Amino acid sequence: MTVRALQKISVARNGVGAFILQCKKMDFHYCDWAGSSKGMNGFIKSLLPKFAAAHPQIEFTVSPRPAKHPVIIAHYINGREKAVCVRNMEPFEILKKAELLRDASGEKLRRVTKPVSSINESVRGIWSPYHGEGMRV
Amino acid sequence: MRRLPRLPAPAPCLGPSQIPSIPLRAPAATITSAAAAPTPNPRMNDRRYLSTTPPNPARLKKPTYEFDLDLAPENAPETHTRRQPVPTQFRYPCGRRNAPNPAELDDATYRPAETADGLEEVGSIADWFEKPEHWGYPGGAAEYVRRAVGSFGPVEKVTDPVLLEVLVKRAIVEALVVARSAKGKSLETRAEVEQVFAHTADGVYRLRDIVAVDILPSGSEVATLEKAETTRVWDVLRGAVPSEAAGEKEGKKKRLLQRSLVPLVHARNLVSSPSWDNGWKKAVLRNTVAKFWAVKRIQQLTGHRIPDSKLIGDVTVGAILKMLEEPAKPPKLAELLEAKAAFQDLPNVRVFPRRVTPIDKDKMEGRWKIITRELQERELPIIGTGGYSGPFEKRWVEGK
Repeated sequence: MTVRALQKISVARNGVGAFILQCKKMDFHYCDWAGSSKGMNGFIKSLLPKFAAAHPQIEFTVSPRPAKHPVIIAHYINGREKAVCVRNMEPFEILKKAELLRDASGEKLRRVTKPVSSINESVRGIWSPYHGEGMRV
Repeated sequence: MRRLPRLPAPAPCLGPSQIPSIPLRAPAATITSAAAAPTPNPRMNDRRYLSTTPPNPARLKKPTYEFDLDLAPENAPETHTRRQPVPTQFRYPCGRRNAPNPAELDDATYRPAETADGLEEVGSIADWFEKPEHWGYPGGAAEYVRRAVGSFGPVEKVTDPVLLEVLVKRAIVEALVVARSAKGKSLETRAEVEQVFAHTADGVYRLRDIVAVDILPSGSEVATLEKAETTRVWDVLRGAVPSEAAGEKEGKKKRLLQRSLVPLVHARNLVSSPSWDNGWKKAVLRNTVAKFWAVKRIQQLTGHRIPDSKLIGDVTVGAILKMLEEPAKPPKLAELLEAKAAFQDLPNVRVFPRRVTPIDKDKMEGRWKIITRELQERELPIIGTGGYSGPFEKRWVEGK
């Protein structure tokens, strides 16, 4: 007898199956004095308002960090965080980095060799040689 | 060479003959190398002892110490002489005084202290110059600086642009007067000029009369003064010096020490008056003597020192004024964002005007109250390490 899955209507399980942006918070640090923060200051003034308005699900904080290079730190819902130093970058280069951090999953970068990776069990179950009709030799 | 680990042989007993005590004990005598060189001691050099190579006697040889009896410190001629004390108003700590010997005291009840408890604390001389009376003036260090620096210029630089503009114009006019009338060329006239400048060091005396002078006559680019104006301004300036015959010696001294500032309202009234024209700023300062006196007078009036390198070639008065004016500080990004209200409609954006510290993060999370309470219960410092950072054992040893 073949193992049959339970016939049940799918229910929402904390949003599993729906898309949730993995990035939950982004910190933008800059320096008022240093030249390496010139692009970052321009980005915060000109591009960040539009970027933040387009992503209401992300929390943004902007704070100075004197005598340090500018940096973007993204926090993810898996508890990890990623930081990118954006020293001496132009505002649009910094926008690219912000988009990269927004789209990241928060996981460590690994080489993906299989088309599908999942932590859920297979819906077909585990194959067993003792069940079903068997094979005739 | 390969070295084999071996068990060390028992060390020979260090007898008195092996201790090189002669160089340490002989006061002043010729000591030969034979007497000074210690016997090769296997315990004194572990590396050599473990090696199978025999010790090199040349390396163990000590240099010969020879003392000349004639040049011993007690026999040396006294070549240095005692320096004469420099007259100063500072009060220095007096020399060391020794307490009398307890055996020589007549007081039978005297008993030397065995502990420091109850003894009077005399203190040290580490904070000697913290006390104002040791500076020679009742005002202490602040008064000393004011008196010492006062002859060169104000203690604090003038930064207000309106005040600077008025004082620089006065300085340029006076410098042109001195340069035009060939004052200051001989030692006598130079002393006279310096006396006049010292009595008008605050720039208040007859300010309106002096800055009303036009330094840029029509059809000229170079800053010059007409002869009549030169004479008039010089007479005005000389009026500031009180005559000796009038018996105003005390008053003169008092005036030299007192230094008042040009009232800002007065300067603003001058600059905003219709007779104040900005055309004088285009005047070129070409005369080297005028430049010298202008630099000197600007330093005296405003406290700003202009380096010589910035005065090479033709320099306009406006350029000199620009050197003295402090450039406006660029606004902070947080202030700009607040002024622009860039994130006003975005509830997901927070802008902090200063660095977010770990304590700020704890406060945001609500942990800071708990941390503070727990630290107080344990009598630990809330912020910092309570002096227990770095080599604190070293500070114990040093008695700090």
